[in-house]
Amino acid sequence: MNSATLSRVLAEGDGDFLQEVAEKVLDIAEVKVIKQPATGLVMMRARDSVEGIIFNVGEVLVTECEVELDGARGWGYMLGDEPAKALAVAVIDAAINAGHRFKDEMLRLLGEQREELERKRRVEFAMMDRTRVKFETMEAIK
Amino acid sequence: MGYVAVKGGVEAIENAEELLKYFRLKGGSKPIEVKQIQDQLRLAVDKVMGEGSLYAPYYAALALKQAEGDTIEASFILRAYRSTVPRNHYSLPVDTTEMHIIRRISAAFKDIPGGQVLGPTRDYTQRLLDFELAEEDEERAACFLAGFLEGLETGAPEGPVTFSKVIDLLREEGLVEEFQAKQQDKTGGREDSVMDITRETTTFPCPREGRLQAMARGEIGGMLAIAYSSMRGYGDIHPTLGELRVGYVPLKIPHPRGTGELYLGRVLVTEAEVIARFADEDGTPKFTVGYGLCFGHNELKAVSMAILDRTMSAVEPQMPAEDQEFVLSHIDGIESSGFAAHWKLPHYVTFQSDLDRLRSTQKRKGEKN
Repeated sequence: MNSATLSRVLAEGDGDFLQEVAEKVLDIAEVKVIKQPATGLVMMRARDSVEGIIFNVGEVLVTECEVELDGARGWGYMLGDEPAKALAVAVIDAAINAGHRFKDEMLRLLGEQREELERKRRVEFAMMDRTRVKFETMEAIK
Repeated sequence: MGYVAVKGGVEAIENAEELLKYFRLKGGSKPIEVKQIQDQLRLAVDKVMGEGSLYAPYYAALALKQAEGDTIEASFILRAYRSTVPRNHYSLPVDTTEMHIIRRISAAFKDIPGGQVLGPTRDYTQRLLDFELAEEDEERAACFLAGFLEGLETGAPEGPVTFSKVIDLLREEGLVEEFQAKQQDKTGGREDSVMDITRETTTFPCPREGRLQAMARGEIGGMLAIAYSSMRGYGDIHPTLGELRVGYVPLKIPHPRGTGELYLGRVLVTEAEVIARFADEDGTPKFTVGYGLCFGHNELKAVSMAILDRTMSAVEPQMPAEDQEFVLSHIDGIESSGFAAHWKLPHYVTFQSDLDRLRSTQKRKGEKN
């Protein structure tokens, strides 16, 4: 799993699942919290499609934290006020970065979670696809 | 003369707050869960997030509960909450061509690459009061969900969830203005290079990036009213909706470890591109385009924003909707509601001085006659 996919699974994965995986890591490894989970804002920027300029759309509430495991850092970011989930993500991230012995098992579990997310995406697309429309032009009203 | 404040009334104010709570609960119905508001009043939640300028669905729903459904009050509460949280990051510029579409229509072309998708809409539904909805209970809701989702799991088509934009097709044909690589781009849009109206005072003329930011956090009622004035004839935009999209965009920040990027999640937005009449610059007639983008599912806001983006580009403003200062000074819901609400505060001393002046003027006039 490349790091882009991993960060997607960690950001969108089921909260209970992520916390279970993190618990397994915490059972056998010592994790130092560098930055406690706290809420912060991310100013969202976008590029407009007329001139291509970048502008500030508005802020997004996130929870962020940072931990250390066997000398490796882990970052946990989550949309909304979600301290437990953010911490779980940071722990998992650190365990992967540290090459923890639980790593392969963790990646397997995260792989399953990715498939679940992809399935949800497909269902979402399918329901949207049912509203696909083809309008016919009628004769002009004289 | 300046405003002279009053003091006192603490007990009455405290009792009034209690009374407010009583009015919310006196019906005796089950207290409404925040999650219910977030799920079932999603358009109100989106409105509050847009006007509160904070994407936080659960807290927007909580603010709506606290404000008893008053969206302006709720966005005020949300914006106040926003001011207590530190801004730690700037996102990488969101590229809306990466949007996972849930709705996409064009009023300009019937055939667009990727096709038109109606998505969740009531545009083609008669506005008849749905009496059956009054009977909705958990059982009926569960029954509907099961029926709706049936077959979707297996029959899900593998298809593109992102589409190219209509405006880019027009641009390829040379029908709209060229993409102008602005000075801004060279810095990759770092924090210091993009104007931020929450950090610097707005002066006029306001750069377009500042106008777009002000509109993204604008209040829909105000924006719609001014955009409508232009649509009706106080101006000559004659817009055609090139494309309207609703969907999720990926939010990414530079990775805190120093290299690469970090995906934080997906944010629901509405985007509109409005094609306006020809502009005749350097002799070649072309279409001009107005752009709208806001948090959540809010189509009227995105369309109003795109129209106002276009009207405010007028070289010689003739109408209110074309005047940047007029538009931008009147679309912020917190400012406008705050100013209107402040008239309810005691103005006893200022009004007393008005009274005194009026009486003495009348007296002088009476003496003269």
